[in-house]
Amino acid sequence: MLTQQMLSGLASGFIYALLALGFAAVYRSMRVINFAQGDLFMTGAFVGLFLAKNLQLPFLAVLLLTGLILLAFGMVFERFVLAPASSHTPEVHAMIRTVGLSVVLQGVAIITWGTEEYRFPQLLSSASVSLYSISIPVNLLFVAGTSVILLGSLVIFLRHTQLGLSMRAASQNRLGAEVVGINVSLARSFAFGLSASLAGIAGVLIAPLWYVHYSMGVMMGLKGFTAAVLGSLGSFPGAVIGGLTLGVIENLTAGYVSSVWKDAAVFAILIAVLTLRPQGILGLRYKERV
Amino acid sequence: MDGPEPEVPGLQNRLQASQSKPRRMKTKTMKNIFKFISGALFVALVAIGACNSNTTPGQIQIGMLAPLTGNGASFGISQRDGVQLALDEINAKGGINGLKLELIVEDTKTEPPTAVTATNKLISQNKVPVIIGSAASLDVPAYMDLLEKAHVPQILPVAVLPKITEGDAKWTFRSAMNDKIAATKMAEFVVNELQAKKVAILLEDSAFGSTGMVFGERLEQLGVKPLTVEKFKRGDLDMSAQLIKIKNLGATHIQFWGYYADYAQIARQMKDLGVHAQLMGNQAPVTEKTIELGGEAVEGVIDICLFVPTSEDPKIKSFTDNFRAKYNRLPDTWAAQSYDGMYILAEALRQGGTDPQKIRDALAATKDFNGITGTITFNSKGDAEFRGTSVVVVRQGRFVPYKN
Amino acid sequence: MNHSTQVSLRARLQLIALLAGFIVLPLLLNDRFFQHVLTTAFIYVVLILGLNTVIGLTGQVSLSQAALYGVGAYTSAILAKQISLPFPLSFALAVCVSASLGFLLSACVVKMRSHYLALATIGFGEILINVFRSAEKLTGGANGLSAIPAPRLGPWIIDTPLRYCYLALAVAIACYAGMFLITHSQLGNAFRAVRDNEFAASSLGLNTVRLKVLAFTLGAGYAGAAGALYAHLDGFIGPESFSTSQSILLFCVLVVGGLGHPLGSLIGALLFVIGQEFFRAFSHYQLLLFGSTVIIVMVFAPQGIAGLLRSMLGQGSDAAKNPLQGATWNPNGFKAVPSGPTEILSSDTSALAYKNQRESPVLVIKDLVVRYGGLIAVNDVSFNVISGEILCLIGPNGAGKTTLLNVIGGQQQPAQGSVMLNLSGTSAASEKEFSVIGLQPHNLARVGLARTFQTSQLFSELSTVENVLVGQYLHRKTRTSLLTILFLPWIAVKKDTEAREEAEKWLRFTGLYDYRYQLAKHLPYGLRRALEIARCLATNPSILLLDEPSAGMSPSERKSLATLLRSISNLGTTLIIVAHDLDLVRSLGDHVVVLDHGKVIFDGSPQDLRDSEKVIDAYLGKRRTELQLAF
Repeated sequence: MLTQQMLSGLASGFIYALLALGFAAVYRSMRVINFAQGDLFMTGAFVGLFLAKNLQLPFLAVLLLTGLILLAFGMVFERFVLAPASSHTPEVHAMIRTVGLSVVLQGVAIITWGTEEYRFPQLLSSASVSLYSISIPVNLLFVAGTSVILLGSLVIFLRHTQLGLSMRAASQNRLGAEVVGINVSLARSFAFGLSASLAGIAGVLIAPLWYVHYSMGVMMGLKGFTAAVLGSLGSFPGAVIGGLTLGVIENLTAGYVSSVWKDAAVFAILIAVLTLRPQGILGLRYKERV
Repeated sequence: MDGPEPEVPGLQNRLQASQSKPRRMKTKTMKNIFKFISGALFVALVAIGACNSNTTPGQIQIGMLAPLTGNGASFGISQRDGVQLALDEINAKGGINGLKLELIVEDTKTEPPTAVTATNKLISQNKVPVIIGSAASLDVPAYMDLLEKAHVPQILPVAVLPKITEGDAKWTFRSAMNDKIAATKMAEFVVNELQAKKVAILLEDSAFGSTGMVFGERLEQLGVKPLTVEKFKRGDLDMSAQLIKIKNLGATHIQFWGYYADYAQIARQMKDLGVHAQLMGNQAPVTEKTIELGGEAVEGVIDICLFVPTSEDPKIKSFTDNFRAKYNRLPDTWAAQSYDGMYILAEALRQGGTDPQKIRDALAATKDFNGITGTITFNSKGDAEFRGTSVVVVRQGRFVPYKN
Repeated sequence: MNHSTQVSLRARLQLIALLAGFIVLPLLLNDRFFQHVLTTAFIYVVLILGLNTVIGLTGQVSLSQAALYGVGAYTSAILAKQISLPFPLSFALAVCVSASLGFLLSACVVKMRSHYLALATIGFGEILINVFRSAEKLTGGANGLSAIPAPRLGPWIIDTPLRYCYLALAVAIACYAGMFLITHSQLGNAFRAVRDNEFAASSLGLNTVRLKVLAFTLGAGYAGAAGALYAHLDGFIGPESFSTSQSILLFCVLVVGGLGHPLGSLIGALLFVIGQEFFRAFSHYQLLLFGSTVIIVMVFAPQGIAGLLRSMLGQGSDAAKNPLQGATWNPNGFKAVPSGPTEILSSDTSALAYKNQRESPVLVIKDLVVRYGGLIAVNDVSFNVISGEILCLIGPNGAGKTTLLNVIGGQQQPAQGSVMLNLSGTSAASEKEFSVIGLQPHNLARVGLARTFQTSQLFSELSTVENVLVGQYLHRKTRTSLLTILFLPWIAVKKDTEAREEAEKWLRFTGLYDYRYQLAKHLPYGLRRALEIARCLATNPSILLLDEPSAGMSPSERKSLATLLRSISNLGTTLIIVAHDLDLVRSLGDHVVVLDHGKVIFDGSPQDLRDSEKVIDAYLGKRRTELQLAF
């Protein structure tokens, strides 16, 4: 039973990992916590819903298209709303704008789709694979596989492409990057867009396993952030480790302690990490401004 | 305390700056702002007052609280549609004592505080003599006391929470089936009809879900001890931990007590995790949304309710046809219950006029009302006593009566 | 002068008229429902005022306000229901319980940065809500608590909407008045300083941790008060009213209304509650409208509606009187100040008497070593600083001067060595000497150490005089406690006035008096540097550390700086200046220490420096001619 519990925890764990990656990307490049991450996740699920149900596109197309749409949206938002905040006002102001975005996204979802729950079309097999009396839904395998591929691509992108390099340079030393001719504002926009894209893809991945609802992002955002902090805020491998760890811990708490206190357990972890070991599991610390 | 506070002698005294009269902080502009705000406020409030709806003579106004948005929306909409159908029929036949009926609907958004504000509005502003109460069980305890104080009666055709009629309320009448009755009947069904021996209970962690314990108690009385009682939070998207535990215990039947979304989700996760047990539910999942969200996974699940649209009874068929003609969909049990509720209310209005006290007394006196959801009599607690209920199962995407 | 008293009178009349309007309004409306709406509005005013203390005044983004609101509500409701406690008591207890929880929460999160703090507070809030939901016997669980009795105030029972409206209004007025007093007091100024630049605030002697916790606790207390009012309003409370989403909503309301001044909270709360009722029909669009408003306000008017109104109705009028156009800090302007430094000096004999105590070392630095990983930045440095002298610390780039200054100033810890402060020559009270190393940051100013930094660390949103007032804060004589501010406001105002006078004296001394109402962020470079010095002076330092004070200044500004520094020295303060400007060293220095690669290569008077071969080599290689010319 323990194994099955842990495996089930991994499903949410991968989703938390994707969300945490988004947090890490934004934090690394602009020291901002994107409060709207969970709601971008929800928006991705709805966009995917539209593409899958109304346009009847195949799953892979839905996944890619959602990723692209959210990428574009994120870049535009960063360019026009967040970027102006960075120079003159404290970092808190940028955070407040993401709070505004969070509320707006929920508002739009309510207006467009109402407050009810929606079923995401089952485009993949809804079968399960059985292995030594452990049942693994195919969907879960897909989630895991896609997440791993995404992570891999992200690492390659950051290390080996020009844009990735620019992003890393811009995040470490903005002025220096500008001086050597890197388009810093593009790099930052891209970082935010990337984060939105990851969140959206996570939404599409998990939607077939759950259902789509305007408030599905709120908790997920918080848990994604917890995962990011748990791993080590700003670190990509940390985000993944934190996400998987959180998913497993959550499920084990639900299984062996009480499912009612599942969420509280996550928050207790969050507070404990922030208070006692803010540098997270991996112990990395990104240079903070004084 | 902290470190010492050395005073370098005379450092301050050495400044022989000329004394200038200290300036008070600027309060003038603040006052201007206050004036501006209060003026705007006043205008706004007056404007709101102007948007007040006035009573039209020659009509009886009935207030209705319904969760039209939020997770009670499917119930609220059914309630509204059922009531409206009945109301239109009554008006078409000339109304009540020559007066036409008008419905004033307030959306509670499935939020108790909003329900309270809405109730206040209906009582103070619209001054309705009677209210059709919210379909969302959680809304009701929030505003019930207001009705007690204001002496305005309400009829609840949908809310199933037992707690509502367990207090001293004199102004609340419930024509829906008290969930405890449902729990008892379900337990009897499970033991007698299904002959289940290994039953697990999975209930929502709330007052609503706690009625599942009544199921468990009745089960024990009949000689079957539940294997385990697991809980979940409403809206939780992942119940795999609980299901894995239940699977491990070897349960053949799982009794659910909660709302439709979680029901559908559990059904799906049961399939994913290979939990081969019969899923059974309470009244709340008997709605289209369950089938919509659950898809194939809810095929074969068993629930309990007061009404099935596929019955051959002519009265039921006529209602079903009318409903489908008007709304282009099949009525669910909640719409049917609301339809009955409106007719019960109409009878009370016929006897009580527009006096809330008289309406209340007439409602209390309701006896053997023959509706499409059964025969209803209100007991001293304002709760409905029924004869007979329906156990339903989902076949090919529809709720049909359970046949062995 | 007469004009300002007249304005004050008119302002007071307006205020009374406004208050009267609020008092009469519930009666005017004469409708239960509107009275209910108004009551809700007043409750929100209290709630948002509390949030403003935490976020607006001290910059701690707390998203647990709704949960603390819930704590207050449940406390008052449970006490009234279970033991029939009268309202004043249940209210007071609700405030205490909320404030205590706020205190505990704050103690955990106070050292976190803003985004971590926000999320930690969310975490706490969620845990509290879980408690509300689970403790069914006490709180009614998810179903909520119903049949909450109406408030009982002695013989009166508040069971009509009208009476409740007045109850809420009374509490709201009291809370607003309290917050107004706090905001305009030195305490409020200190809060805002902590928000703007915590590091600088603590270097001026403010115990920033204590201040932040105080603000948080205050905000929590307000939340408790609002909760107690809310609990009895409808006879019902449920956990969903206190969720994180609600906290975020409150935060948005505050931001839109305006962070900082209590007026923003008032506007935000009133607009929100009334707007919600007004737009009831469009409740679907509520979230979208709301979120968009937040973004729009943040982009176009980050000071919120209150800030907009204030700039529209001309709050900048004070600043406008002293325009900053082309303002420079020049010697002519300097001398024009009637009681300039020259007057101060000549009239006071005790200053000169004090200077005669010169011989005692006030600072003893011994065997100091500072390492950055493998690099040794300060290598076995020892020297003494005589009380009242001007010490110039010079050396080539990378010599370790700023590091050394940081250690002396207490911002950095050395690997080895000691820095001993000896103030025994200065006052009868403190006879002993003690180590600077290991002192908590806010104690440095208290022992008489003040410093300026290479990059300007001003409180940008505070005015010039307010900046200096922060330096004034640590003096107990003029400081006021929270209780004094709230319950003996006349005493507080008197002390504030005294503090202000002191601050203005320093402004005159440094030639900034004319610019006292300008916001620090608007000051041109030279004036900013002067302001930093003025602010340090307000702490009455025994030792003033200056890190490249003349960097970036024009030649005329440098001359003014030199004069100012000499005047400060004449007051008896010891100056330690890290300088590149050799003219400054030559004109001011009593004592020069030269560093090269972390080691002291010269320690003596400027005259002896001229001939030192080592120094010349260090700076310029072998080009001694030019250096000799310089000296």
